[in-house]
Amino acid sequence: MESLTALIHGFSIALTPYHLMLMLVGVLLGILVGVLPGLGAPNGVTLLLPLTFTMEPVSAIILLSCMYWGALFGGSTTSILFNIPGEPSSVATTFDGYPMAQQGRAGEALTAAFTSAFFGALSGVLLITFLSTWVADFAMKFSPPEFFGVYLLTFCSFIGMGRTSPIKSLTSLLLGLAAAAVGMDMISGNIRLTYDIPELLRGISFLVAVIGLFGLGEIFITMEEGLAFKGLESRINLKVVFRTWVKLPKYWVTLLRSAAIGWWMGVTPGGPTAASFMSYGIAKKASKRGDHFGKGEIEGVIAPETADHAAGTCALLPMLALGIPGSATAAVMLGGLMIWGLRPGPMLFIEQKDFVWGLIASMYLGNVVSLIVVLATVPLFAAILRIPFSIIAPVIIVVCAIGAYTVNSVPFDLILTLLFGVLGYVFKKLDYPIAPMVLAMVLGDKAEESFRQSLLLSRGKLSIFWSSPISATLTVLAALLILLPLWSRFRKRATDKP
Amino acid sequence: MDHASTSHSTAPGVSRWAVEFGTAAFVAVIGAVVLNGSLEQGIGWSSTGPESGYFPFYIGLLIIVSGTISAISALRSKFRLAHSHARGEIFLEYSKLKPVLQVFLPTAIYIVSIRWLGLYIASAVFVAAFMMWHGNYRWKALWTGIGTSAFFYLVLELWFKIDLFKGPLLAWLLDR
Repeated sequence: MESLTALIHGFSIALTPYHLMLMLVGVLLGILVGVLPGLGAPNGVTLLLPLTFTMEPVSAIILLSCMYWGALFGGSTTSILFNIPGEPSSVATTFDGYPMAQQGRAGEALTAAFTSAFFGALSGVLLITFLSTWVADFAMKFSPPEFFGVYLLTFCSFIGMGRTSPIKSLTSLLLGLAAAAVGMDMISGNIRLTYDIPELLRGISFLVAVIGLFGLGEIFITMEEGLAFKGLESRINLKVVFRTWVKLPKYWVTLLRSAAIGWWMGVTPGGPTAASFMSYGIAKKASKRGDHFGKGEIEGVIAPETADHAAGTCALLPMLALGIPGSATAAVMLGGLMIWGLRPGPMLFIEQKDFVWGLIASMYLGNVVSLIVVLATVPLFAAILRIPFSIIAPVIIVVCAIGAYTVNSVPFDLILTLLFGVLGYVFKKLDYPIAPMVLAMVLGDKAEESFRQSLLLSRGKLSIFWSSPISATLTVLAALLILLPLWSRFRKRATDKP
Repeated sequence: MDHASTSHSTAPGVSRWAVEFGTAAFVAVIGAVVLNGSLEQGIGWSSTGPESGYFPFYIGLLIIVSGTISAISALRSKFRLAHSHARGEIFLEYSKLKPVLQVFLPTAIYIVSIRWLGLYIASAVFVAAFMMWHGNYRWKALWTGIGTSAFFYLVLELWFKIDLFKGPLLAWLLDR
């Protein structure tokens, strides 16, 4: 009940004409970056962040989170119409979405995708509404060793649950932690790892890294595919929408199961991409029509979309309640919170009630706005992708450069962006995951701080990390997640040998 | 967009194992740099608890370890290939190197030139030149280039009051 009163209060904050306008702008910009190659949710939010510095934090987060919803929806559009996932998390949507469009069922596929995405997101917001206070209350008991345990668990779950090689996830994570350490040491005030380059005194901004890794890196990869996009025509009319809506309740098991997968992968930092793949795989196994998956099965669109959006939404729960983001985009928003002068973590629920509940209420409204806007604007955004790449590409690169500059207003950051762009390109091609690096860059300082404070408490004894029941549980869970991939590899080897 | 994949085709190109090895070696070097920087800070214990280098020291150490493991596994895949006389995976076909460089080089020149040209001039020139080169546009390229810079001037400089880097050239032009 306490959550409900708080939520109603939140609606009174979110439901103002100004905030509704911000939602609309955010969703439209989000769909735009979701549709455009080379721009996605993480760097879309990054590019917009400097414009929010002068806003009220609650207005700023409404704008940014709505951009996130819009980008998630936009990513599905290109997956279905162009067979190009606008976001990594909508890769699984191409498997059945594009075949459906080829069969002339684009409208049906898009409606199914948007509606199940809406369902997934809504289920995620419900989870946040009723669980976040509880999680935050629980986290109030945390002291530095417990916080370090949570960070450790976050890092380890990326390594253990990622779809890529564990050693590559680890490398990416460690490089992020190292980058976060550059500059001033937050505890002693010492300047470290700058090698006398004055521009590095302020450290390496993760925003600059995100723009390089996700923005420029993607553009270089896109160039390999050639300059032209071939898209299918799409027209959505209300008749198709309603016909599809009538069909959807039949798939309630898939919807619920996919939402649950999304919850789990969003709250633990498995992220939306892993969630959508997992949900697609399980739906294929569970469905009676599993053989038809990949040939234009509507269930093959519903499953990944529901999980993708449920996970994307739930990624904000640990961000709000614990100060730990569940996805790369949530990591950027968390960075924004710190820049706006808020302290992410459980205290947010006590000190910044308006902010937290305004945001949660805006999630309900923002997703309704997204669904309506995306259904209405599909033809418009599909037309954008038909603009020749020789016009879009340089404009996107300019947007990235200007975005990277506005972060700190130093030209040196542009060079860093370029270097991160090259790194992003090579890492993507070699299947090094990029999200762990971004996460580590955002959390690195806080993880180190809690680690050093813990050691200070224990006078240097590492045993403090398993001295209390909570921190012991967290440390053991983290260790298990690291050992999981090793164990499965060992078993695979054992079974391979007869 | 996510097209992170390497091709299995038989077209000639940069082999994957070499790039894997090079990247792993680069990672290990970064680790060494971090390690060295941490040692300069001190990795022991002081009155405020662990010294500044304590945490990054172990990060650097782990980076060296993970880089070395990746490098070894790249070498192992190379030896296996040499053994089986099979063609390895290709990181980037030579035929695709051209389109990638066609975007990378102009981007690099653009980014570096901002130092002198400033964001407005460099961006306008970059967009226009890119369109002329890749799309054979003429006047349209010019107007799109100028339009892009004008758009950002209006939105950022005038509306949001965010100063963009104008560079020495624009300052010199405006002075005259």
